[in-house]
Amino acid sequence: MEKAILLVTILVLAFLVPELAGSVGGSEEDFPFASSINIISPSNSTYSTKSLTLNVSITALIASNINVSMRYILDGTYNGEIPLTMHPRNQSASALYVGSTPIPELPDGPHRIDVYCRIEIDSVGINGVYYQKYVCQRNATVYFTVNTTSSIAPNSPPETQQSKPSINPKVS
Amino acid sequence: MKRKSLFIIVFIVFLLLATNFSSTHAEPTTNTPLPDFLEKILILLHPNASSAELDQIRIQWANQLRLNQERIKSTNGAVLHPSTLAGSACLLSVIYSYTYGTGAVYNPNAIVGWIDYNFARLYTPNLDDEAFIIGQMSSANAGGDVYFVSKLGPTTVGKENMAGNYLIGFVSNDPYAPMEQWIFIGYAKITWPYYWPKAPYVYIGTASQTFSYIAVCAWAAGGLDPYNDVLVDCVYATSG
Repeated sequence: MEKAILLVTILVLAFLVPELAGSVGGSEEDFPFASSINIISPSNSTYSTKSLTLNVSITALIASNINVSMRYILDGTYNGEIPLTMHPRNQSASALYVGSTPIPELPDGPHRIDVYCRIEIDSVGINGVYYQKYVCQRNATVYFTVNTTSSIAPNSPPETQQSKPSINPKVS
Repeated sequence: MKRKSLFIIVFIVFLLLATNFSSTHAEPTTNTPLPDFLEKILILLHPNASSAELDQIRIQWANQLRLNQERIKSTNGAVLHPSTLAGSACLLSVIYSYTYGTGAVYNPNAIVGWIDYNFARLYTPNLDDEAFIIGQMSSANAGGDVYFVSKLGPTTVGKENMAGNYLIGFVSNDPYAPMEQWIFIGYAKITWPYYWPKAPYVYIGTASQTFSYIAVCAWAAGGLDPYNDVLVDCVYATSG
């Protein structure tokens, strides 16, 4: 009998928790009002410099209870924030968020950057269900190579003036 | 023998129930009283109408409700019950509308009607298009659950399974505030499997504070099929 009560309690809590604590959606179907992440640079190519800047953008719904933030993971290890600047569009419920941050110096070899965008919405109804907090994510990945020894440099982005954090990320 | 008799009785009862169910839905419902929330909207929308005029509108609305119910029955039978809604605030007038990209708003000022009679059509055929109306609620203290009476637009009828067709709701006490100061209360997909055609209205969200103005928006965004063509006939808040 006690086991049955415990089981029912667990089931009830399992149904209630997403409503009370919020929900995490993982696809555009969960929250269609944000575009895919656009990784402007670096792109899928070879760079002749160790110093690169990550430039990203995303278009998303704007409101006082919507918070958009981004971070990136370099080669599966380094986790950095991407500061965002919001550019509202005239007479529009959406805005272009642009982010730019220097990437730690990279050793020669192949690299990977995963960019994650987190959209948090307070007190919202989504397809018939009310959430006190709703969280959805977007992610995008870019693969590129750094080769400072080659004389041919097909892509050499301009040096950034911003200071760069120094780490020694693992090369995957 | 007993088992056979029991089976026959159950079968007859089933037939009776099924027949009764069908005839109930086939009858004209012009004499059926409107759900409470529609009665309240009717009075709010037509405060100076005579009782004869109100009766005429009631008949129109009841007929429309019947048509909606028939459509509901022909699809999946999932009927929500508007009578469970109670409140007194609805959108009375559209202050302004605008579009972005090639989005379009048709007949926005007719939003205070009822399905198939008056509606605002929000049409966003291309990625990043937006169509918007900003309206004033009948009460300065509207609040609670917000519903849009809505359905698919003329170019999306019959395409219930497509990815697009969303309506978004924002609330504010300043109709001219920038959008980043409005409160996003939610959105609904006006297609199967969510609401329409299960019910003639959709739950959009719950306002966490009272509001006087509402923005009804369709925005074609994201990597999914962004196409939107939706009609909004009425905006309703359950408490005010």
